[in-house]
Amino acid sequence: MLERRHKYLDPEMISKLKSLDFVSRLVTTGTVSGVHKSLRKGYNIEFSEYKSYVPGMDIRHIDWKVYGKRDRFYIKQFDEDTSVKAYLVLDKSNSMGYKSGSLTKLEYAAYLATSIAYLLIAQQDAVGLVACDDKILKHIPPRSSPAHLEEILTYLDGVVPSSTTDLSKTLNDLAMAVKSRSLFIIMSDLFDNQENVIKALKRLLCRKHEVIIFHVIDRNEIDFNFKDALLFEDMETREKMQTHPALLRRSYRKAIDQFIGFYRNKLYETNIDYILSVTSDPYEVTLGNYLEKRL
Amino acid sequence: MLGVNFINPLFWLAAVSILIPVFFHFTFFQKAKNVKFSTLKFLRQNLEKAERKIRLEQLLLLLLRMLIIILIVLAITKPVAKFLTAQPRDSVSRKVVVILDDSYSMSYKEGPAAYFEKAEKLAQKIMATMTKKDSLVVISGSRGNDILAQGSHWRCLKTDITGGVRKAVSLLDESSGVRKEIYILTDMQAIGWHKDTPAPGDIAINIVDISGRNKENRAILTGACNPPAFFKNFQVNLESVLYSSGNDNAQVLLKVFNDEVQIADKDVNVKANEASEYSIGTHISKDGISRCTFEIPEDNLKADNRYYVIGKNIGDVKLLCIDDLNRADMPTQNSIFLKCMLESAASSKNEALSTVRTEDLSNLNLNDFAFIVVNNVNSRNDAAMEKLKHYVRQGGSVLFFISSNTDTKLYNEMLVTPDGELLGCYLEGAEGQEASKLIYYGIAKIDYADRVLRNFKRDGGALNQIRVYRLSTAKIRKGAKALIELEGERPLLIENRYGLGNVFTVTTSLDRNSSNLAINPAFIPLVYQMIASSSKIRPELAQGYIVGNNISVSDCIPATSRKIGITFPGGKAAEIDLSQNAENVIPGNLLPEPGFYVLDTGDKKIDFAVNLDTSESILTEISQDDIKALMPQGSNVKFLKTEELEARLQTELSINSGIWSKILLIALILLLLEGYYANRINTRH
Repeated sequence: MLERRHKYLDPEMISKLKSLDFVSRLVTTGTVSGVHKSLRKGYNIEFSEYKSYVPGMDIRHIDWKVYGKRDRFYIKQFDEDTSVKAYLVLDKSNSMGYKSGSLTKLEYAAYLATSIAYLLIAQQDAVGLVACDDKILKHIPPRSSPAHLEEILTYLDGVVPSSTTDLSKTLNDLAMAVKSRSLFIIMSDLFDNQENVIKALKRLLCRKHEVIIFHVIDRNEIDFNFKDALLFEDMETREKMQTHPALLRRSYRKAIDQFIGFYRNKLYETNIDYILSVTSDPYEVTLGNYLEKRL
Repeated sequence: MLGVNFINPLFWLAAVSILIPVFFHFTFFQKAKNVKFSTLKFLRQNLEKAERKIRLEQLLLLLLRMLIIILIVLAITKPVAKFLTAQPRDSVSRKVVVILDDSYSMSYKEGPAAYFEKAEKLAQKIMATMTKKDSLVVISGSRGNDILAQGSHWRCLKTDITGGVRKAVSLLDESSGVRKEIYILTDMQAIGWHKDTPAPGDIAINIVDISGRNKENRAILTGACNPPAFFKNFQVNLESVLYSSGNDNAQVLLKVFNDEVQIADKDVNVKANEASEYSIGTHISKDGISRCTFEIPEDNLKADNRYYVIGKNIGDVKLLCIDDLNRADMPTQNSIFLKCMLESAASSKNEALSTVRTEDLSNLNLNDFAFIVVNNVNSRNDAAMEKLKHYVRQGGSVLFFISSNTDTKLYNEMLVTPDGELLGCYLEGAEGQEASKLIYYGIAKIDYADRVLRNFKRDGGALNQIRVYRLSTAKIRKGAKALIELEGERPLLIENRYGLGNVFTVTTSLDRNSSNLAINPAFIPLVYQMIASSSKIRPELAQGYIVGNNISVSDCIPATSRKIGITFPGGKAAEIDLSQNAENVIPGNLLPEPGFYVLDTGDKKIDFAVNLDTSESILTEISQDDIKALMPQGSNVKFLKTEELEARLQTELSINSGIWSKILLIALILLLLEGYYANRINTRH
């Protein structure tokens, strides 16, 4: 399907994920047949309902067996599967560049984005990419061709962290810009104003979009397992702070738990899928578990 | 002002170690590794609280560590801090003079430390109670009464407390508006106290008895002087009156023995029926109580042939002997003995012992005599007896010899008065052996606890060898006590307090038909002890070649030069130029230690010995009443034991001797706490 090898596209992982479909809960109005339910009734194998015939309707859909029993014309209707437009929203702010293991959060998110993009395009869905920090840096509109996948993956190969996070602004911009119902798959550490992020997400939901959030976070950002006195430097603001981690560990863990809990609860209330993606866990496992649960 | 006396110079060195935790404290906060982290927003939320906590914890740790070091430093260096004082002292400044008895007797060791070292420590403790506005002077309690510098040592000098008090009072007299205190740290030797010891009422005089229970011959026991036999060559004139009752002249060889070794002899010609005086000038070769014997062929003389002397000089005292039977041409045996015994040691002057009859008392001022011996009174003389009683009431002391021939009725009548009995006993009669029988009464009981007898216990029990053949039977009166008892509860020596004085009664006489007292080596020391402990007039020592004294060398200055060579006891030699010395003396400060010195006049070499002041060997201690009697009325004197003063000082400082070990224990406990606390801080998160 692809012309050249890409940094974040692991064939072994792809083989594992091939058996899974990325099914959107979104009922789309797409015109291309796909795996997702469409608002349109079509010619699928899955029966939907009977409807009384009204002149003007296509008589090919009259169920003659029912006519024989009831002596009235009924139109047999089927649900039609269609394709979906998905936006991969990748937070590439500086905070995503943090790593305590082998992968930075951005790299981890890139792996996720690559995998999801591959899966969606493989099932005829259109996939786009929005890379942002405090503004939208790259916008690749959703398409479903393999060549388009090539374009996305090529961009992801070269993505590097930059600037500060303003995810809520990006999401608000997208809510304004994207008119048709779409699937927004957000990969971010969500280190932004929490209330603003929730508001932006709700705005997306109001526009009938589906939102999935992969909350990418480093293991050390949860555990805060630093030793000795350290001079911490904020990767986004460059602010420095000297302290002894041992003394702040308990309070930090409490704060990060509250932070994660906040998103988990709020997003649950708003019916947004929230996947805590810890970089120490294999991303295919994280993704696989989610997709299995989603089926 | 904290008022801290950092006696130990190590304190400041050790105190610097307090900076170690401070150094680590600041090093901890300054060296931190730089780490990039995704966001500090979650750290920032609790940073201020955590920083406060961390600083508090680290500060607590720092303080704990500094406290531990301070406590350890304090425990090791033991400074004395008055801010720990429980009760702050009044604001009046103090002027203190410590009279530190540094005489030779203070070198006596009772336990590991000498008296002087004990006194020195006490002086340091007194010093520790001083604040900056107080002042303190330490002066010597021995001859010269110099102001002492730190690190002084005891010296081979005679005690002179009175001189020290005079000097202290003169130092304090100049001050006003201050609290004046004198501390006298002494072993309470009587010899250091004299009449008219000043004691103004505005000066608090604290007399501290450094000595322990053992009051034995301190100077000699220490053996610290070199050479040890420092009494060697000490001139003693042994004088004797020999009486011959025979019809022929006799050639007699007088021999002087010292501990069975003959040290001198002299041929004398004793004329028939005549009492003659003889003397041998000799040297005592051993320290301590020495015994010399005149060996006289017994066949030639009826008189007792042994006389005993002591190689010690009890001082320049005048003694009086009342003996009605004594005649110049026919002295009684008792008076002969007394003259030999007492005069030989009592004084170098000729009239140290005066023998008189009762009727002669009216012409005498009894207060001139330190001690009176009553030998024989054979007629009633109330006026004389009243004079004698008055003498005793005023503090004089008398020794009665009551022989078996004494008129007991006369004595009982004469010596009982409305205000008490002079004699400590009621005389009942006489008993004793027949001339042909060999019966004697041995010693049954000796009261070694008494001050007169306490020093005789260690002398091999010589008093136990006393034998009495004839004696007066006596019944002890109320208030009196028998110091020595013979078999059958017969008192031999009775002591009775009468007025301010003491009356001793010996119920036998010195002649050999009555007892062997005269030849008992401990009896004369016993008489001396009575004199030294009870005499009204304190003996002043005869001057001799004594450490610290100037030595006249007029007789041996070379004709051609006024320079004289001297070799010191250690062998070191020097030359003394006497050209500027009109008095022709070698200054005492050039003779700082006892021993043998050699003067080199060019023509000849003269050996001479410089001795320790013999008074330092006198065993007599002085009582508190005696000291008070030497001071004017209204004096502010307190008598303290060492422990009492220490307790008082400790109360003032609120520091007891174990506080520093307790502090060390606390430091160790805090150290454990610090380890636990530091570990907890590092591991709890």
